[in-house]
Amino acid sequence: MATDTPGAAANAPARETEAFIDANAAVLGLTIAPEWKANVAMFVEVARAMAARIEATGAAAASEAAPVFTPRPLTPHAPQ
Amino acid sequence: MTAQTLPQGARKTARAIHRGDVSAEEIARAALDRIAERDAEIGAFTDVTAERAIAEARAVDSARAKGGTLGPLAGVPYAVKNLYDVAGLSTRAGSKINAADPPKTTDALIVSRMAAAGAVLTGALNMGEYAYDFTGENAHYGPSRNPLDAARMTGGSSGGSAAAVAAGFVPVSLGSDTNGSIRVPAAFCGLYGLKPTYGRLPRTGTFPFCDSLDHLGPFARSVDDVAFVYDALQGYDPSDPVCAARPVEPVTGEIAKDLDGLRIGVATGYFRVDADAGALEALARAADAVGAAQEIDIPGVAEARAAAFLITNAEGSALHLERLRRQAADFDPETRDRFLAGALLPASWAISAQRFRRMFEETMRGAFAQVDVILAPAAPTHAPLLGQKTIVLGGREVPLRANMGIYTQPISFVGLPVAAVPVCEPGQLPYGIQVIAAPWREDLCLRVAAALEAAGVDRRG
Repeated sequence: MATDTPGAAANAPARETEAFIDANAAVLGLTIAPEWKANVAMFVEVARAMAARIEATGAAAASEAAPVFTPRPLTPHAPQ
Repeated sequence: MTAQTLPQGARKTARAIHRGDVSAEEIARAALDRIAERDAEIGAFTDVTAERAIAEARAVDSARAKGGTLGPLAGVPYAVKNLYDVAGLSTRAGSKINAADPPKTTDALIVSRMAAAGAVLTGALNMGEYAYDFTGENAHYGPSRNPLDAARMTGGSSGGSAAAVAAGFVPVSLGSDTNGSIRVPAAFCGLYGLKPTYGRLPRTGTFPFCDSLDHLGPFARSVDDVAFVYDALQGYDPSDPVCAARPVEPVTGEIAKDLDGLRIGVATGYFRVDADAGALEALARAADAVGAAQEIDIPGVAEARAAAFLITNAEGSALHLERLRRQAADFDPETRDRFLAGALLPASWAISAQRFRRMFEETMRGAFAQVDVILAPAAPTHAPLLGQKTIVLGGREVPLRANMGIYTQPISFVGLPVAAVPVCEPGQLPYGIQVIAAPWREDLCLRVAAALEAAGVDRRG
């Protein structure tokens, strides 16, 4: 199955997701308006289902694609 | 020349200007006239750079009059997605927030390469906010509308880039593709596009979405024009830390080669489960046209798509964290809640998704040991109606926005080059095919794309 059905693969009770959102938003200094919260929760649940799929692959123990650093001319750093 | 007799397409336009059959200024004014006449209906442009276009066109004409050497794209009008820096414009990136930034003083690197090649910039193009989009809709600037049917989506997030070419305003445009944002709009608008290998084109001076997945690339109405522009854009530059130190590898001379000896596979499994009947017929027609008999079922594609989803969500949201703190209400509601969710995700989810990338890269190495090129659908359906929120795929009603990239996301996840090719029956909406090759083999993507074009898989006439 390729498509997403938000919420279908996530077994978290709504209050668990809501508590997760409230706690993390507070730590990060984000204000999530009450009328946005249901939608944010839906996306958190989609991500949770995606993460479960990745966890099942054993990727957590795989090598990461860290950069290889090589000498080159200095270039100015331009933060966005 | 009259508007009807002006050359069509980038290469033909440049050739006519080189020969002196038409002036670059005449071509530029005709493009600006087309935009002025019809863009209110289409919504492709957010900024028209008419003064710059005329100045650049006059510079081409002046150089020619003096016997100077003209660039390969001399006088070719084009436009860029509004996440590219353009001197004198604020880089909107589809947002209201960034529109308040000061105007840029320099162009994005590949805009400067287009200028050096003699191309004429006509403006900046509409896009989904911060590129987190597959629809081409935008709460701040309105939707880009599909020129094939103005009631339908262009696809996104490079919606304006596709609309500007499909409407005939300009022969070529530049967009960006993180998870499918060139390939999906090319499919919906019946265009050719190229998402090169990750690291091929330097992204310096473009506003990012998800740095470890962001690519730049062109749209056009022919494979030859895609190749023509792409060749002018190539070249290493250290200002983008992931730009690969590779030589320019021109493709224009490669696309006319025949397909003898090329092993072309057709993606099955994941790539067919949720495709509608039209998408499956388009894939079958494309496979027949190039004699692709071997089916290839790539394992782990659903996981690749899931990992791309997580990386995008987490990386994109990290980029916008300060904006989300200060100005969340100024985001397009369609992106805001996804960015907010992404900002909250546990680090272990994103890190494991990055680690899976190495695993899937190995999987694709295995696939390319069997075949040289893979054909797959670009999207599960044709252009949906504007405003549509859900779609029935595989017999289930699912959210539209989240599912238009199901076939493109796993491919860009490991940076593979892809050409988008339209397949269409007369009187119907087009479908898009992805022509996928191993890293750095854009030549193979475009060679097979040219064979599909020559075989007439787009039968719109």
